[in-house]
Amino acid sequence: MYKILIAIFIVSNFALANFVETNVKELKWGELDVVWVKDSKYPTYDIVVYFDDGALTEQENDLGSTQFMFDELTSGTNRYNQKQILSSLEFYGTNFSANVTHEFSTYSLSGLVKDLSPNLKMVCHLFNNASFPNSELKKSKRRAVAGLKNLVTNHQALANRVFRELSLRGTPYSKPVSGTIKTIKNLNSKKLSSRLAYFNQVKKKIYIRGPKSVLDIKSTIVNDCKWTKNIGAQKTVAKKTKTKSLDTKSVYLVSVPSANQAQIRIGKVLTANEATEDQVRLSFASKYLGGGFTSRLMQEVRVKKGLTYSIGAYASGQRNYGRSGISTFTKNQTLVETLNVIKGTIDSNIKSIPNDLFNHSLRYIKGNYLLGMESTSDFMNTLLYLDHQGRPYSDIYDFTEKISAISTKSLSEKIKEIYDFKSQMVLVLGSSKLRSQLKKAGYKVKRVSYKEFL
Amino acid sequence: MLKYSFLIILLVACSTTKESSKSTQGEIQFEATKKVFDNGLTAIIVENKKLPVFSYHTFYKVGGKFETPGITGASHFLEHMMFKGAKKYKMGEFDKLVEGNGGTNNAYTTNDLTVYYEDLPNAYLETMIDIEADRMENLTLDKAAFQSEKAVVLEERRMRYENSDRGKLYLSMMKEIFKGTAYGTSVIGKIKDLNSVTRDQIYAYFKKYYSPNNAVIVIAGDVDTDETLDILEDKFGDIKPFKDLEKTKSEAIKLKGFKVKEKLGYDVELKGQSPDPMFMLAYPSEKIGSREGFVLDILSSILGSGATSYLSERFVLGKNPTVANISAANYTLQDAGVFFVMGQMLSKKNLKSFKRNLRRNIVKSCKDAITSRSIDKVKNQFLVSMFSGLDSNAGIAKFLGNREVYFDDYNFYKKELDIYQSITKEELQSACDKYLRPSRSVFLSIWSKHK
Repeated sequence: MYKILIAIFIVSNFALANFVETNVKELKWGELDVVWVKDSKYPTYDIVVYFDDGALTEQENDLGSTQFMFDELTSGTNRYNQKQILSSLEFYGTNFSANVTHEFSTYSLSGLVKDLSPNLKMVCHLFNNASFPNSELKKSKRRAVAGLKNLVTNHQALANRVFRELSLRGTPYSKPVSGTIKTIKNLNSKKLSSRLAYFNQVKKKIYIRGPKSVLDIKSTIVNDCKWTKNIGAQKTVAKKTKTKSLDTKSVYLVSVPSANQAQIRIGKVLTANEATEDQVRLSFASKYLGGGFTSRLMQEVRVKKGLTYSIGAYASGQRNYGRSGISTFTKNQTLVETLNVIKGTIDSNIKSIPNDLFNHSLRYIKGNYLLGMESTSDFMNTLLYLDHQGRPYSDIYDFTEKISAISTKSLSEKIKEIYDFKSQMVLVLGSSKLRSQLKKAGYKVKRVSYKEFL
Repeated sequence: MLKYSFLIILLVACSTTKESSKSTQGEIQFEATKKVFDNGLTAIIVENKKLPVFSYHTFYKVGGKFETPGITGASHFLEHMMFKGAKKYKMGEFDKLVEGNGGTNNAYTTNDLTVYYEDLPNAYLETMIDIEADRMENLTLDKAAFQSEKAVVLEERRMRYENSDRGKLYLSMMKEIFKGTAYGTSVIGKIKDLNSVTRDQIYAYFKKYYSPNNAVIVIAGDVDTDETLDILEDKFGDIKPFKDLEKTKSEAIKLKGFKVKEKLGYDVELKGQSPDPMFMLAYPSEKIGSREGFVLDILSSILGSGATSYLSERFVLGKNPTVANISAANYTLQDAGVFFVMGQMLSKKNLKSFKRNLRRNIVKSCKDAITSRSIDKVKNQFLVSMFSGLDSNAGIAKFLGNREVYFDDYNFYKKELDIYQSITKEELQSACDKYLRPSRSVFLSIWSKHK
């Protein structure tokens, strides 16, 4: 059976390599780099504009200004008001959205090919003429603030937000890209216009999925968006990640009213080297521990003990930093037991990894990698991510070979390096009554108010 | 002029006696073949050679509506137990075989259906079919796993509903609209029933509903149709159908039926944690497949899909906004439906006057919102969303399987497009007047200030 699987992965690598060779074209429109993923299956397109900057360059008082700027492009221009802009885009069923990370941003557009031209012309108009009218901005800010105030009803999202900031504290990546109540209130039309002017100059790359006819947008990109000129040099983020402020000796307790379930977040920040130089082994470690139903944590915490419905581990990076962690939840009464089972599972796999579990996980990851390339839109996003990290597209079909070279010992070492419980920050979000349970079990508890993180 | 009319032509396919269809004009490229086996099992195979993988979906036509008092949540609980071992593939082997061969799997349960799905490299097609046949015929329901999985389901319930205002509001809305009907209990089940249900009760439920004549299998991917049908025949062919299936189903449903109350017009207040009220305004609607159901689909999008929808323009983007977000949906089930508007209020806005204003505006929308442009916009949106789901084998399998289950015709999407295209402004106005009357509605809100 295993031989069959090896054969499949060899065939799959050829299939992937062949797919890249046949369907991925790298083009140059003026000074602008363009990647076209040919896909004639349906009369639809995806366009993703990559900007080589994100929230990192925001001023301390203007956090959230990048995401807000992209989101508010449709709020008005010198020629059209908000209603006219949105009516035009929505009439065609077009989907448009922006995604801002600390290091890079994307603006995505998708819809029917026949409507691409008017949609893109409108988007170009927005990038050149958005005026961010204060009347509309005031309403948007109020909505955004309401969204944050009501986050207390979404325990998973609130735990993620607080944990991110606490675990990344001391690094430039700690603040949320969506901003805080205080900084959102501080935004104004002038600041967003200035942010847009900056992003129009930032280095860009365009990713296009669709049939050949989508390449007709070249003239719109050149003449309307004017993105083939004035492209800035690739921005270098010199800020280094530090982990010295990470308190790994306490459990942070975030109390929320009337919770009968505790959200658990365990993790740490990864340096640029940790996040980018050994990515295949990093990915193996996280998936072995907490990827899929047969992962170690899922088996120990859910299947054997019935302590949770879901548990997962992650480890991923951008260009200059990364994060690793474990995420789960359990009823109030079993919080300490769950923490102990997680710790025990990590410890035992640091000591040794049984061959059968190792091989099982290896096969799972290889197959999963292939399935992740099935959707052409997802495949295009993989190319974008590789480009951001400065990695070659051949990484896609080299993955199987690289992961096959990892030994059980080397995987154990990676788990120790990344997931050793002693080096993790632990956060629990739930009832204030959990404090006594944690203290009784010997944990030092630091209480934090979620309101400080909104 | 409908923007998508030219695409309709592209979607027309030719039928053969084997009920296979293949698009001939290049736009929809999946090729499907349907076969009904002697024991009533329906299989649909779609060839897609892009990568050497396939997606396998099993639609069991059983869901929350068939659950009788004392066993609420049985379908969903079985969804969990179906991964806990059978005669040939023992406890834990299902996941080991699927994930150990590079695949993924999961399942979901609704009021009408339970759907299991797996994605795998294509060399494991026969193994997957064997596993699925084994658990259909010989599920073990291991006693220890039965108990530990109860704890897992209760944890899921806490996560989705008990610790989420949105989840609480949704459960309450379904309970109010479908009170006294087969859709009136939650799919995840009552805590009391989940604690008390026995292995024997679940096993009896399984034997009734997990039979070949109650299942539709859809396999999409790099497979050979004839070979796949042969393997299915080989593995499933000897599994006996449940002869009393239709009688059992109609008896279970007959206990409560689907007749909803037409006279509502009241409010429900729930104590929650939201600093600002979260709300739902719900109306009984129509079942899936009825013409009025399709009309209400379009109406819900006109009223509450996108920033330029009628309600968003009035309550979110207008001069004096009262809500942070608002949307509308028409949730069509197999035997009934519910049309609802939902959203979250902004702080310092009066809930009572908003409630009045919302109901009044919805009545007004029957005259103001339904224009040729708003209808065309929604039809464009439907078309884009249809294509966006078909980018993977799993998307194709789900798309065709749902149509086979609900319409006995996996090709029904072609008729759907025709129906949507033919819906007129007058029909929309008439449905709006008929269904969205304040006296037919329930307004529910959840707020930290409610008692």
